[in-house]
Amino acid sequence: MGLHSINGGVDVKGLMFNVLEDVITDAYGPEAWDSLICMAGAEGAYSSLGTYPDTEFHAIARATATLTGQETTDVLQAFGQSAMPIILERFPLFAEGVDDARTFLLSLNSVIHPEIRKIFAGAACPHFKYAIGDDIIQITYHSRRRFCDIAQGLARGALFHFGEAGEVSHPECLHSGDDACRLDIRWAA
Amino acid sequence: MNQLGKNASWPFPESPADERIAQLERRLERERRARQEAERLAENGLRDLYVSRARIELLNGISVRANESDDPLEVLRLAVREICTTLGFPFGNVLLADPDIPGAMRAAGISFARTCDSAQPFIKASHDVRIAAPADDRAEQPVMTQVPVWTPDIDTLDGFDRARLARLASFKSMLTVPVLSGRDVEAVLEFFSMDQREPELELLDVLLQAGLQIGGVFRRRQHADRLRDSALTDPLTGLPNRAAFAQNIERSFRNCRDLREPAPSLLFIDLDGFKLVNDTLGHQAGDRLLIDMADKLRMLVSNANAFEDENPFASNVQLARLAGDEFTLIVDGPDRAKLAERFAAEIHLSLRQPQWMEDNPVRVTASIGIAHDDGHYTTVSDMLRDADLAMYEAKSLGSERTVVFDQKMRNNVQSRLTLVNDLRTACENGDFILHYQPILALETEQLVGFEALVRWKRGDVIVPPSEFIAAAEESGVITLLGQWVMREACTTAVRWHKLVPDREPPLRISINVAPRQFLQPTFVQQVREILKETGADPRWIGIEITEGAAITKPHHTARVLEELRALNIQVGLDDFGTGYSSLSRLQTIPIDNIKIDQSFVRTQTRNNAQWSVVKAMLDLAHALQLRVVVEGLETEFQREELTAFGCEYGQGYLFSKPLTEEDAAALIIEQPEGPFRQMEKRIAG
Repeated sequence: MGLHSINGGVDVKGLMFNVLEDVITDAYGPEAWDSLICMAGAEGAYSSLGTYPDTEFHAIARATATLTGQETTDVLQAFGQSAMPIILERFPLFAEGVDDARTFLLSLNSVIHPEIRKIFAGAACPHFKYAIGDDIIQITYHSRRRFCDIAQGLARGALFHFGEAGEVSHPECLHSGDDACRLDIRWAA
Repeated sequence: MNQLGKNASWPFPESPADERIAQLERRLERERRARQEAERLAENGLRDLYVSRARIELLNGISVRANESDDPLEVLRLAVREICTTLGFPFGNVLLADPDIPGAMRAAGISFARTCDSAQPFIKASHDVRIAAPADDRAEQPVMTQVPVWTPDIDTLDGFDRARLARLASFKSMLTVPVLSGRDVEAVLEFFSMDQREPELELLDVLLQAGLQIGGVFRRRQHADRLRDSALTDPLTGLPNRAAFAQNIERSFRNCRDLREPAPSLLFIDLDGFKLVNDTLGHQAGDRLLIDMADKLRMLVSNANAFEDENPFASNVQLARLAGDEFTLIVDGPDRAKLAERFAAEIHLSLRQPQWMEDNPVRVTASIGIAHDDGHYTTVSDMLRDADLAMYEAKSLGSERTVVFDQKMRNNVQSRLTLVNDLRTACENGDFILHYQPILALETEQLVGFEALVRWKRGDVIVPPSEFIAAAEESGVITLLGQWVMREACTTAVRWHKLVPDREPPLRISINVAPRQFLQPTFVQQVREILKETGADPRWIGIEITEGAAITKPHHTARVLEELRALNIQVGLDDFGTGYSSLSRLQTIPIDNIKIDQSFVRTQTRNNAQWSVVKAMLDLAHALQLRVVVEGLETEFQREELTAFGCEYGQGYLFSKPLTEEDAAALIIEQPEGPFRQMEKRIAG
């Protein structure tokens, strides 16, 4: 959820910060968020519909990693996973009538991204290409933004949300020199 | 200052620090919830705005294109793409009403897809899908309804053949949008999705409107098609008309020339007895006959495959009605020549059966002309002309004939064209002469006048009229030639009058006028001008028309003859007896004399004479106070007999062959009043 700003950087919707705040507060209490804002030197006042520099988002994520002694990658993945129930609670339309993770993940292009665009004008949602197997879905996409860790976490969150067991891996990444990012969601037999 | 706190102070003491913190946290929480509520309101507002704007833009985009375009398929292509991208459908497909089966639909080959590979089999099946007409009108078939229909679970649809492939593609729901022209479903847009959320009513309404807009394009197209069809269709028989034929043959011919292939063969079909049916049984019967003929031809064309042995579908036959009782076939394909001639034979055969019309067995036959192309035709009009000529040739050979245009006919046409061209030049140059055959009073054998006979000086050869008059009449050159003859005869009359100025009654030169010349509206005017120009006295000339000219337009003829007589010109009927029909009409034609055709006289011999017809003609003429001239007198017996019957005048080889102007002048000078044969002997001696 973001858009490319005219100065060449990337903007992030305030919603991302709001959800991040919820996740941090839920995990570490309200003071933790205040501390992270201070440490990251971030503005700190985020409205869901507003847009803010992604540098602030990554600074908060790095601060979280530092303070909690984790890798930033892990922080972002954990954030993604925890964000899913919060997002679905806030936007029930995203999963209306959907009973399983598979349907949910396959409706990203056709339902969820269009819904996001309806609310967040100009939101840059990547187009996902699917390869579907009996117990696996491979999602391939191009995005210059370093949000693949969050995406991976969101996919895990989806599995968890629908009470399904499975693994989400990220075997190919644009930022590791691959042609595209690929997420594999494999259900446990 | 806050108004609420203006008159009273807060009654509670300040709380201790912990309590204060808890209080602030609660306040913070309230603020947070208020912010989230505000955000939600804003988000919902933005979403609604976005959705309604997107729908308006979608409908607007489709409407604009629908109003601009006259191609329904192009608009459908745009609509399916726009609806998919705007509303997030991964796949949309277009079905068209099957023109052959009412109620059935078939894929238009127009779709839009943004799907994964596993949807490919479904997409492919959708491109080829055919949906049969519902067996029961009441059956709930989403594709044939008049409104958009949303089906949340396509697995529950009866008779949805693509269900298995849809599952493979993970499609769960379907939305169909009808394209309506009036109450007819012209097309259906079908959209598939994994999304099972029920679409809002407003959205369905927008899609219904979009369908109606696209329906308008179909309606306009149908209207345009109908206009074009009626411009190209013969309303009586429903066959393509002359304009359609012209387009078709022109296009075929051009294509063949581009590919350096021979053009299609061409059949011109003309009914032989049609005019008779029209005249005797009336136009309604004639129309029925034409409709019947059209049906027969249609049947032959549709059965054509049956008599095409080797290559049944290689040929292409196009039928048309050109006008009246003229039909045409364009026959294309590798065996076009053989097939065209086979068609001609089949047409003759199909007309063998008489047709019953109001208890009258009517049998018509056809004359058929065929032109084949061997690559030599440079224009299609040459080919049309040849097929037409072949048809006329067939007609001239009698009924039920087929003539294929060939080299001999081409040569005839060529020499005829050359003849007409030369005739035209001859008219301009005056390369004609008149010969004059003396006309005598039979009783006294006195010279009373001459018949002017035209000859063509073609180089060194003198061409007799039998070899060029027909061509001159057909080509219209006759009117020029006729004027030349009249002027020349009048000039001669003036010269001769100067030779014997006091002769009474004056010698008269009879001038033959062809029907085409006589029927010109300006004919009397022409005669007047020539008389004025040459200075001839009207009494010095006579004008002879044929029976044919007299009966073609009887009222016009009567008026013109009266006008000529009013000028003091004697008028007569030439070749009397050959037209049969005019015996009874003779009394209605204002003439001074008749000339009995030589065929009634020449064959009469002393041993074998049959004068009854001639006598009847003489009796009739005398009863009407007409003078009679006979032509073709060759024997003394004929002269004696006719004189005895009271025939006044005669001409023929018995007296003299046609003479040059000089010889005729010599005759006039030598013996203006003596018995003719003595004079001639004197000249000869």
